[in-house]
Amino acid sequence: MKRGRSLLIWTLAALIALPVITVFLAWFSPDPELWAHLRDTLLPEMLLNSVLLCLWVAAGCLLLGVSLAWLVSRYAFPGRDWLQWALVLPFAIPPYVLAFVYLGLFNYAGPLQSWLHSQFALPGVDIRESRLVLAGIFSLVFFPYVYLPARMAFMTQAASYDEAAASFGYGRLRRLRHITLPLARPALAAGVLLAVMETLADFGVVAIFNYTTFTTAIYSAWEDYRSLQSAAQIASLLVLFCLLLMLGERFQRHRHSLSARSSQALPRQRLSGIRGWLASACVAVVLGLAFILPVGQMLVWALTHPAGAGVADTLAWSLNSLRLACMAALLTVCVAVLLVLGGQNGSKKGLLRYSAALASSGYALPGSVMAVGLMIGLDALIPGLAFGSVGVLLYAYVSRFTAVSLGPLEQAAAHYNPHWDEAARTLGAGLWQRLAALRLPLMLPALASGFLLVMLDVLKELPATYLLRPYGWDTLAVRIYQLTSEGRYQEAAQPALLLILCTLLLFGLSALVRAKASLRRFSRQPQCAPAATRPATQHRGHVR
Amino acid sequence: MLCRRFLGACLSILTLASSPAVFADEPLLVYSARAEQLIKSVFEQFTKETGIEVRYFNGNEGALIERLKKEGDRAKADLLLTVDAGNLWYAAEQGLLAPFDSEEIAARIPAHLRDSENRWTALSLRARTIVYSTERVDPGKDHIASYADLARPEWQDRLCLRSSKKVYNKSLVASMIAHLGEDKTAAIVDGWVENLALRPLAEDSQVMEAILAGQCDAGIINSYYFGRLQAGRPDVPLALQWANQDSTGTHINVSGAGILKYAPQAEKAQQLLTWLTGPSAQGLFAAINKEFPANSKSPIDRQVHEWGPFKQDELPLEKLGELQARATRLMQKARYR
Repeated sequence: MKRGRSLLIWTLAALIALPVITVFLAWFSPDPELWAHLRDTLLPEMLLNSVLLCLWVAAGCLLLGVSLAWLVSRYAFPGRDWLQWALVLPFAIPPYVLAFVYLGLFNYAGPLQSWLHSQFALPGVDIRESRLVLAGIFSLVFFPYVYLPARMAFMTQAASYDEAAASFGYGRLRRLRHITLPLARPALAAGVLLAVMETLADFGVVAIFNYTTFTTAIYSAWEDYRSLQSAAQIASLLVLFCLLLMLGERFQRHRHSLSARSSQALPRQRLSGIRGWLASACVAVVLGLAFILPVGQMLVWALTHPAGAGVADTLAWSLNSLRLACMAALLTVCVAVLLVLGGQNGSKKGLLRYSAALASSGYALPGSVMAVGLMIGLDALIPGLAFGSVGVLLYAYVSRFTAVSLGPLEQAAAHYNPHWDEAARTLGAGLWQRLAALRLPLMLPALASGFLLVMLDVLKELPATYLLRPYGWDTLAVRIYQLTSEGRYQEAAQPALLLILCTLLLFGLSALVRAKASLRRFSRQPQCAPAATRPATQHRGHVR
Repeated sequence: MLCRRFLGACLSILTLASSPAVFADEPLLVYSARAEQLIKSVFEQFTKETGIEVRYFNGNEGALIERLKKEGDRAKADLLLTVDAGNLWYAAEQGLLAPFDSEEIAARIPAHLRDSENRWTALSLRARTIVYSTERVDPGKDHIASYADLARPEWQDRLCLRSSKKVYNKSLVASMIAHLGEDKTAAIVDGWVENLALRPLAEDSQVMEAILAGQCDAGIINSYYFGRLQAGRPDVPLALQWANQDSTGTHINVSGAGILKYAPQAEKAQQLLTWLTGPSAQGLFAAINKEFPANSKSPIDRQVHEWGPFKQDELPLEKLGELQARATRLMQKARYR
C-alpha cells in the first residue's frame, strides 16, 4: 500500500517533469565542438552575469518584500489598510512590459534624462549598462513573491516570543533580526527562490537590455547554431542549478519546522503625524514605481496609439487568456493537492521533498525550451499525437507552474497537526471523510492562493502558449508579443492594459470570495472547536 | 436492434468527423512567422479574389520550424511563411518544404531570390543598409559608403548596432563572409565593435531613436523601419545610405514562403503562393510594411520609391543560410553581443 502510493506519487511527479526529463536526455548526443566555442565566448560571461543578477534580484526582493511586510504588519499608518493589498498589484505587470516602459521613460532619450540634461546639463547615461537597473526591474516585478509570505508570517507569528524579547530589553530592530526574521525564514526563502527562478528563466527583459544570461546562451545554441541538443544541455544545467537551490531551500525549511504561529497577533503600533505619513509615502513610492508609473505610461500610449484591432478580436483574446488561465489553475492545483496529500507520509519525510522538487523543476526552464521538451517527450510517449490542442497546452502549463501552487500547499501541509487526523480516525471517520471534512477545508486558503498565483502566471505566459496553442486560441500575451516583436511598443499598450485589467478582475474576485468565506467562518465559529479553527485563521490571507 | 443501428450511425458520424479526408471547402492553413498585422489584409484579399479561405497560425521562427519537424504530416498545414533567407533555407534543409512547380513564379521572381530547387520563394525584399543623422553626418565628406566604412577609426564611438542575436545581422555578416572571406569580415566586425557608442540595441527602431537622441551618428537597419518612422514624421533628420554601391550592392533580405511537404491541399497552396507573387498581392504585401516587392515588375510604394533606386546584392539567398552559423561564431568571437 505504502509502496504503491510512493510509486504513484513518483509517476505523477515524473509526468509533470516530462519536459525536464527530455531536456536531460539531450546529454546522450553532445556536440563538443560547439561547446568549445561557447566556452570560449558566451559561457563565462553568462555564468557571471546570471549569478550576479540572481544575487541582486534576491537582495532587492528581500529588501522590498521584508521591509514593506514589516511596515504593514507592525505599524498602523494612513492608508495602510488598502496599501497592504495594493502591494500585490505589481504581480499584474509582465516583466518585459515594465522593462520597455522604463527604458522609454528613463533611458538616454527619455523625458527624465532630457529634462535633467536641459536643466542641469547632466551628461546622459545608458541605463542598460547597469546591472543594478536590470535587477531593480526584476525586483519591482517579483518582490510580491517575498512580500506576501513575509506579511503572512509576520502577522501570524506568536506575539509571546516578541513580548518575551521585549521584556529582556531588546529593541525593535534587534527583535526583527533575532526573532521575527529567523521565524519567517522558511517563508522568505521560498519566495526568494521563486523570484530567482523566474529571473533565470526570463528571456524578454534580458533581451530588451541585451544582457547575456543563461537564456541567451540557450537561445544562441538553438537559434544561431540550430542545435536543439546543445540548447537542451545548457538548459539542463540551469535546471540542475535550480534543483539544488530548491532542495537546499526544502532542507532548511524542514530544519526550522518550529511552529511559531498563533492567532494572537502582535498589536500594531500607531505611527502618528509625520512618521505615519512617511511610512505611507514609502509604500506609495514602491507602488508608484512598480505599478502606477507603468500603467500610466501605457494609458498614454493606448490613447495616442490605438492598437487597431477590432472589439470582437480583443474580446476573444481576453476570454482565451482567462479561460486558459482558469483551466490551467484548476488542473495545477488538483495535481499539487495530490502530490502534497499523497507525498506527506509520516514514515518517509523525503518522499514529498524530492517528488515536489522534481515536479517543480519545470519552473526553471525557459518557456519555449520547456514547450519543445514537452513536444519531444509526448511524441515519444504517444506517437501520433497532434500538438496544437488545448490538452497539450494545459499539460505545458501544469508542467511549468506546479511549483507555484505547491509552495503555499506545502506550507499549509507542514502546519497540519497529525493528531487531528488521529482524533478524527478514533471518531470513526474514513479516509474520504477526513479529507472532505478536515484536510481540504484547512487547506482551502492555500488552495485559493495557489490557484490565483497560477492564473496570474498563465495570463502572462508567452512562449509555451505561442508554440502550442491550437488554432483560434490567441491570447492577450500573444498579441502583445506580436506587436513588440515588430518594435511597436506603443501599440502593444492596449492589450497589455487589458491583461492587467484581467488580473485586477481576478484580484477583485478573490477578495470577494475571501470576504464571503470569512463571513461564513465567523458565523460558524461558535460551533467549532477552537483548535480546529485556528489553522484556518492562520493560513488565511496568503494572497488576500 | 434499433439501439444497435443508432450506435452504428453514431460511430460512422464520429469516424467521418475525425477522418483526415479533406473537403472541398476546407480553408488553407498557413504557418506564419510574420506577425498577424502584416498578413491579415493580404489573405483577406486572396479570399475575396478566389473564394478560398485562409487561416493562419502565428509563431516564432525557430519554434515554428521545430513544431513542424515534430508534427510531420500531422500538422495539416499547407504553407510556411517566414522572414529571413536563413530560416527559409533551414526549413528546406530539414525537408519540411516541397518544391513548387509554377512557371509563373519562375517568371516573376528573379532566380537569386528563390531556392535553387524551388522549395521556397521570396515575397518581399528589405534592404539592410546604413542610416545616419542628417544633422551630424555629411555623406559627401564622411566615409559612409559601405558596411566596411563603418569600421574606420573616424566612426569611433559614433556607431549604433542592433544585437547580433537578430537574424538580420547574422545574414548581413554571412553575406560579407561570402563576398570577402572570413578574415576580412572579422576585421570589419572587430572595427564595428570598436566603434560602438553604446551596447548593441534590441530593436532596429531603437537604433534610429539613439541616433535621434544624439547617442550615436550612424547605424545599420532594415529599410522598412525607417519607412515606418518616416511615415509618421516626414521631416525626421535621418537618411538612408545605400551601402556598397561601388562593390557588391546593398545587402538584401526577404520574407518568403514555401509549400509544406505534407500539405493536405498542396494544389491550393501553390495557387496561393503563385498569387502572392502576382501583381495585386505584391503591391499590398510590400506596401503594408514599406518593403520592396520581390516581383520587380510590381509597382513600389510611393514613399519607398522616393528613397531612390539602388544596386542590390545578387548573392543567391540560400548562401546566407549556409553561412549564418559561421557568421554568428565570428560575431560572438568579436564580442559583438
